[in-house]
Amino acid sequence: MKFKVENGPHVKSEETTSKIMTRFLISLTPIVCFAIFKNCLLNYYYSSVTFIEAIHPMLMIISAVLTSFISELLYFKFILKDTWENSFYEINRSFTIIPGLLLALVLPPNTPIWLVIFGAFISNILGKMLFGGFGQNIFNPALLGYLFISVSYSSLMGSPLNAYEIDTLAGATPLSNLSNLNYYGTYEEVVGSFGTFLNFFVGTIPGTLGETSKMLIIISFIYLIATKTIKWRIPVMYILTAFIMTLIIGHNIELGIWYALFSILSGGLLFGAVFMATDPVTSPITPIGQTFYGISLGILTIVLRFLTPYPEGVMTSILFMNMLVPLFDKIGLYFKENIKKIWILIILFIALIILSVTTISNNIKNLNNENASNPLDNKVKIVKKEKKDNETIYSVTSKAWGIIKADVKVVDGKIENISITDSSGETQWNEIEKNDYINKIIERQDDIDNVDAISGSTYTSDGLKNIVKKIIESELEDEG
Amino acid sequence: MFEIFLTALIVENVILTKFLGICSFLGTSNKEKNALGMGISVTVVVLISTILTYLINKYILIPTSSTYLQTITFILVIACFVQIIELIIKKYFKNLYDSLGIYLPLITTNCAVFGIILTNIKMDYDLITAIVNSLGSCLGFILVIYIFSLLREKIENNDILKSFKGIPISLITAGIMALIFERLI
Amino acid sequence: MRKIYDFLFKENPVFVLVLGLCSVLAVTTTFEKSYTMGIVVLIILVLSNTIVSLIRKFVNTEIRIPVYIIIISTLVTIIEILLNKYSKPLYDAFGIYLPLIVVNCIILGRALSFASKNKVLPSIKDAFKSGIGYLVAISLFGLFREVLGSGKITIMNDISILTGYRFIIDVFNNEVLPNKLFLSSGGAFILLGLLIGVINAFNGGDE
Repeated sequence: MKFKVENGPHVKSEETTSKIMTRFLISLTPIVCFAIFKNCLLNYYYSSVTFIEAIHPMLMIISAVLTSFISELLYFKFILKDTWENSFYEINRSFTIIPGLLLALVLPPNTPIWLVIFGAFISNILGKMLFGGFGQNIFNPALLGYLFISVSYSSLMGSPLNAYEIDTLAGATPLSNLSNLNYYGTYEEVVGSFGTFLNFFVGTIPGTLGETSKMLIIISFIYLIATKTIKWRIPVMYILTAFIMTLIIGHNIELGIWYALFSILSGGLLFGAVFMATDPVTSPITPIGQTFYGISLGILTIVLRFLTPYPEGVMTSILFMNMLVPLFDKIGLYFKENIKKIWILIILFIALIILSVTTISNNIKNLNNENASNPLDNKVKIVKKEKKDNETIYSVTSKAWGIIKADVKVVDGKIENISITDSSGETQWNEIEKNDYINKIIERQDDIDNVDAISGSTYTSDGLKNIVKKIIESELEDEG
Repeated sequence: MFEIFLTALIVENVILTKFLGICSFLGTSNKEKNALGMGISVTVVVLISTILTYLINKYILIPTSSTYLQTITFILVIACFVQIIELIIKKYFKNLYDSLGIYLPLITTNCAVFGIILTNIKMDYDLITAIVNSLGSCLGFILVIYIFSLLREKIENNDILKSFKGIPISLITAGIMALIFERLI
Repeated sequence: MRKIYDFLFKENPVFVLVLGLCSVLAVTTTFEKSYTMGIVVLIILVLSNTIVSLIRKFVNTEIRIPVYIIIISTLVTIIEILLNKYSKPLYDAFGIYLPLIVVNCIILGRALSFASKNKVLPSIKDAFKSGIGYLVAISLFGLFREVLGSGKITIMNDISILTGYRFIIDVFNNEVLPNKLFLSSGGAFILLGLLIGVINAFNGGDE
C-alpha cells in the first residue's frame, strides 16, 4: 500500500495559517526586543562603541526583513509575472519576513550588513521561491541562508561577542569554551567564566542575536504550545533527548547535573528547537513522525557537539533532518497502522542513544586522561590519507579559532608542505601570513612544541601547530 | 579501518563529493523503488568487481608491468561481469530480473562503479581496505540516492518554474545536500 | 548571432541533454582544467566516431557495446600515457576523471546512436558538433566557478611545462571577495542547476 503525503502546511484554512504565523511573530517579539536591548542599548551604555556601531544589530534585523520582503516581491512581479496587487497579496499571505527575521536572529551580532542581505536573499529566493513558494520548500529557509553564509564567508561573520562582552569576558562563547576544555571541567571553568546559571537564563552571555535569553524562549514556548501554534512534540522530544543524553554523559564522566543543564542552556539548542525545528512546512506531519524527528535531532546534535570539531551543531542537525522528513512521515504512517510494532523502533532508538552516549563518554575520558592517548584526537582529525611510495598526502581538519582544513604532503616521514584549503573561520589569518607562520612550523617540525604562537592569534597558531604534531605522530605510528 | 569506512560514506561521498554516477542518480531517483533497485544493483556489482579487479591487478598486471592496461582491463571486467550476472539472473531468478534487471546494462557505463574501482587502485589499497572502502562508498551511494528519491517525490507536484522543473531543481537540491554532508565531519 | 547560440546551446550535450556531467562537475575548479578536459573529450569523440563508423559494417549488433568500449578505452589509455609523460601536473590534477572518460555518456552515446549507423564524414561532423558543445559548456562552467570561487582565471599553469608559458589572471584584484562556495562540491551542483535552469528559460521555457 503506497502512502502519499501531500505538501504542508496542513491547516484547515487560510485564516488559520494566518493566525499561526501571527502568533509566531508575536512570540518572537520579546526576543527581538531583548536582542536589541542587550546588544545595542547595554552595549552602547557600557562600552565605547559609537552610535552607529551600537545600532548595528538593529540594522541587521531591519535589513534582513526588508531584503526578504523586497526580493520576494520582485520575484513575484518579474519572474512569475504577477501584478503588483497580487504580489502584495501573496506576500502578505505567506509571511515573507519570517525567514529573514529568523536568519538575523541566528547570526552573531557583528555580521556585516551586506552578508545579512546576501543570506536573506538566499533564504527567500533559493530556500523558498525556487522550490515553488510558500508551503513547498524542503529545507528551513532561514537555515539555508545561514548555511550559505557560513560556507561562503564564515570568517567575515564576526565575533559572537559584542564590544562590551569582549571587554569583560575572556574567550569565546560558552560552547566553544567547553570544546576547548575537551568537554571536561569544573563548574567554575565551564559555567563560572560566564557568570551563574542566572546569566544563562536571562541571556547576558555571548551568543547570536536570538539565542541567548533562555527565559524568554521558554516563555514563548509555553505561549506557542498553549495556543497550539507549533508542533509541540518536536521541541519537547528534542530538548528531552539532549538533556537525558548529557545527563548520562555527565554521570559517566563524574560531573553533576549542572553539566546537562549547561548543555541545554547554552548555544542555539532552545532557540532552534522551538523556532526552527517546528517550521510547519519542513517538519513531519504525523505525530509519531514528529516524536522521532525530535529524538533524532537530539541525538544528532549531541553527537555533532561532542564528536566533531564543530562546537554548535543545531543548525546542521535541523538541516540534515529536514532531508529525512519524508522518511519520518512514512514511519509515522506505518506505525500508526501497526502501533503494536512500535517497540521495535523504540528499542532501535534507545540502542542508538546508548551507543552514542558510550562513544562520547569514552572519547571525553580519553581526551582528559593524563596518562593516555591523545588530546590531539579531539583537536585534529585526519580525514583522508593517500599514500604513494614514499609520499603521503594527509587531509586534515583542525580545531583552531574556527576550523582549519589543510592538505599536508609528507615525504620520507617529513612534512614537506602544508596547503590550506579552508581558513575562512580564522579572523586573524593575515597575522599568520604576515609572519610566514606556516613555513616556520614546517621548518621547526621536530621542535614544534617550542614554537611560539603568534600573539593575537593564539587559537589559530595552536590549530596549525596541532596539525604538525598530529601528522608527525601518525607517521611515527606507521613506522612503529 | 572504521575511519576509511566513514570517510567513504560521508566525507568523500560517491555522489555528493566525487560526482560519480550522476547520470544514473538523476535518472533513477525519481521514484523510491527505482532508487533502491539501482543502489542494490550497484552495490553487488561494485563489491564483486572490487575483488576481481584487485586480483587481476595484483597477479596479472603488476607482475607483467602492464599497469597502463588498467583502464581497458577493468572496464572489460566490469562489462563482462555485468553481462554474466544479467544472464544468470534472467535464467534462474526471473522475478528478480523483472524488478532489477533493467538497471544492469546501465551499470556498465555507470561512473560510480568504475570510479570506486579506480579509487581503490590509485590509493593502492590492499584487499581488505579496498572492500571496506567499496562497502562504505556503496552505502553512501544508496543513502544519498534513497533520500534524494524521497525528496524528489515530495517536490514532484510543486509549482516550480517551468525552466527549473526536473533536472535544475534536482541539481540544486543535490547541492544543498552536499553542503550539509560536508558539515557533518 | 542567433544561429551561433542555437548551435551551441539549443542541443548542448551538457546543458540540454544532461550528459557527461561527472567530469563537468569534477574537474572544473580551474579554467585550465576545464578547457583541457574539453579538448581531450573532443579529440576522443572525433576519433572514436571515425573508427566506429569505419568498422560499422563488420560489427555484429550483439557485441557492439563491448567492442566500442574497447575502442574508446584504448583511445583513453593512449591519451593517459601521453599526458602522464608530457604534463604530469595535469595528469595528477585530473586524477580518476581521465580514465572515467571511457564511461562518459556522450562518447558511447554518439557512437551507438549515430556513428554506428552512418558514413564516416557525417559521423565526424556529428562528433564535432557534440564535442564543441561539450567544450564550450565545460569551459564556460569552469570559468564561472573559478572566477566566482577564487577570483582568478588560470589559463595556463599545469601545462606550462609543454608550452613554456604561465598565465593566470587576477580578475578582481582582491577588491571583491571570492566566494568559496563555488569551489565546493555543493556549489558546483547548485551552479550547474542554476545555469541549466537559466538556459532552459532562454531556450523557450518561457511562455
